[in-house]
Amino acid sequence: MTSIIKTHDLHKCYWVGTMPHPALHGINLDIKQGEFAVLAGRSGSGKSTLLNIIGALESADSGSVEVFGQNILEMTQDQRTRFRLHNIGFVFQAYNLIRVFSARENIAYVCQLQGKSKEESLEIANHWLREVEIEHLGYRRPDQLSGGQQQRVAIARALASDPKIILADEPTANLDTQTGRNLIHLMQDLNQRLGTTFLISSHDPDVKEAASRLIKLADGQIVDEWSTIPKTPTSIYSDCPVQNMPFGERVQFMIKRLIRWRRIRKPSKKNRRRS
Amino acid sequence: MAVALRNLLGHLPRTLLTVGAIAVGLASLIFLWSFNEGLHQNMLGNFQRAIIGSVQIHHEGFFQQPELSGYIRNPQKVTEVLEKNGLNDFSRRLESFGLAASDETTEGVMLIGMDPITEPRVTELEKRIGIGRFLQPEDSYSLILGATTANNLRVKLGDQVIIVGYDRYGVMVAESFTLIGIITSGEMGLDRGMALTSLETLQEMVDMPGQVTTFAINIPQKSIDKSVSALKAQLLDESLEIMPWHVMFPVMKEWVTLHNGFLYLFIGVVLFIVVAGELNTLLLSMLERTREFGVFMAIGTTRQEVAALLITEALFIGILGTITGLILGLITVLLTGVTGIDLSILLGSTSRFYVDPLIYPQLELDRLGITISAILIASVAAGLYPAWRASLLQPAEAIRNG
Ligand SMILES: Nc1ncnc2c1ncn2[C@@H]1O[C@H](COP(=O)(O)OP(=O)(O)OP(=O)(O)O)[C@@H](O)[C@H]1O
Ligand SMILES: [Mg+2]
Repeated sequence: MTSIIKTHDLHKCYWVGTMPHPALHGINLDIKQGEFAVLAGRSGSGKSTLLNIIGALESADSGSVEVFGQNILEMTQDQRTRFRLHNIGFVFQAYNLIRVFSARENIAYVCQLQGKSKEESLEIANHWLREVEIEHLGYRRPDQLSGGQQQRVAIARALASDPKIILADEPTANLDTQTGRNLIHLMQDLNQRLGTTFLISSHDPDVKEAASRLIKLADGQIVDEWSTIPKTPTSIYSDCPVQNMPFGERVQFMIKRLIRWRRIRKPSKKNRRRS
Repeated sequence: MAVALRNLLGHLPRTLLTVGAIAVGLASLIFLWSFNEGLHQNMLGNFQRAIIGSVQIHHEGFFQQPELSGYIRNPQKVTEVLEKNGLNDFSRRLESFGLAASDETTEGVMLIGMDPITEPRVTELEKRIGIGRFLQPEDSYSLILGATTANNLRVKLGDQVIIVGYDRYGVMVAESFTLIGIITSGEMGLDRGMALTSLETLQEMVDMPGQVTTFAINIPQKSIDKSVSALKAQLLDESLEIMPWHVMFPVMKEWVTLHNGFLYLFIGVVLFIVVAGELNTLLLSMLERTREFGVFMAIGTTRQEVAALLITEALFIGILGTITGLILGLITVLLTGVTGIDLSILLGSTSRFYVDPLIYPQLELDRLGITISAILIASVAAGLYPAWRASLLQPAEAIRNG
């Protein structure tokens, strides 16, 4: 089977002002085509961070991410946007549909972004609405749909761009158990019938049960499938390079950080985060 | 495009509020410009029709030193040229300094001999005579004085007034006149120092039959400058001075310029309010939609497209506001242009500064163009900053925090 995603020694550290928040610590991951992979792990273990980096929404500090052979960490912002448009479908915990669009338009929009005509896009949207079994609700706006229905639209939207992989960050977390189960079955069915690769992060035991592969994260590392103890008990702070520097360099580094952070962050934001 | 429209429709109340603010701003500007223009036209028109006319022709230097020696040497030629240029509303005058004397006292006056028949084509003196009447063709040695002068001389209608003048050689001449009318215009320049009589009478008194010192001409405002240069070209070697009103009385024109300056200032203030208001709305709506923009970017919308979206929204708001404002403004101007605006409520019933109590707003197209483009540009400019901010969003962060 071909690899779709390959990460090598991925490190990521967030900065809140000058405070480091380590998130990923040497992730080596290999996702094959057609897998229904689930990322599990406690809150704060780095699941969302990993998905965002793989989805080219965020950059990493070091390491590499190859999606279908392209190293996305070396891309410019605009290249990443194009890359996302053609290769990746996102499903978010909070559905995140465009409020002012109907369900059908939400799905058709990505096709139009890809340069397809409006008619063709709406045709494709209809097709995917059928696939996620809410054909009859296409004209409704997101606020007229239930959570489960909205998430189906989101899945249809993710699929409509004909992506290589679908990244879903806790897709069932806002849904009740039964709705969540139905949604999992839908995704499983799509995975099996269409061969679409899924990478899903979740706490949900039902999702884990459906997984063809379960990857467990703890403190930014992949741990043994059934174990929660990290392989290396060393401080994960070693990821944040400043900790390992000689004092002089460390001060310089901090000052540079501070200047950069000042320049980029607007002082109005309460949560100052570096990515 | 469609997305921008949807967003605006999706937040209809806010959109309408912003559009309304722009519309009211523009409408009030249009109205103000028109009112201002109407006021100025009215004032300048009245000023010119009061006594001086739009353009005067004299012998060179006469305006500075109005002595009879500076009479027009070839009035026939002037008349011909005027008629050839289609300027038929003119009146000939003989003007000079003089002294008005009653039994009690004397008062310096500007002595003007005017043709009772042609004068009304240029000025509306008749309207301003509150006591008595204007000159008539058969009058001889009849006199009209300004109210202040008449008061100072303590004369009333029907009284005899001695007028002392100088002929073209500087020899003193004096005649007795009958007071037939008193100018009660309320304007200082008219009520004080004016002594009007018929042209023939004055010509006889100073022994200058058929001679004149002044042509007062009535020309529509818009063509004054054109006519003046045409006249200048055609009367080149006649030693004449051809003076439009604003050359004779520059203060009046300066006052109008100053007044317009204030209006530009006001436009600036309105534009500022429009920009600030719209910036506020767009920025708010941008911040409110941070997450949505993050989603837009995540699913493949480029930052340029997101920026374009916000600018398009701003443009839509601007265009909608401009159209509404234009309609609103035009309706107001047209309505008040028919009914007029009654200033007497504000100023009291008497007219002052050559302004009628009823003002009819007038719309100037070039001003309208400037105002509209300024509002449009301002409203798009207000979209630039939010657009720039939105294009800087990091999708992951925007989705997490938005
Ligand atoms: N923008 C940020 N700024 C600073 N620290 C961050 C940021 N995002 C994540 N982190 C930190 O990175 C670590 C991993 O976060 P992440 O969101 O990836 O965890 P998660 O596994 O998705 O958790 P959850 O299950 O709660 O969604 C956490 O310690 C978190 O505090
Ligand atoms: Mg998460």
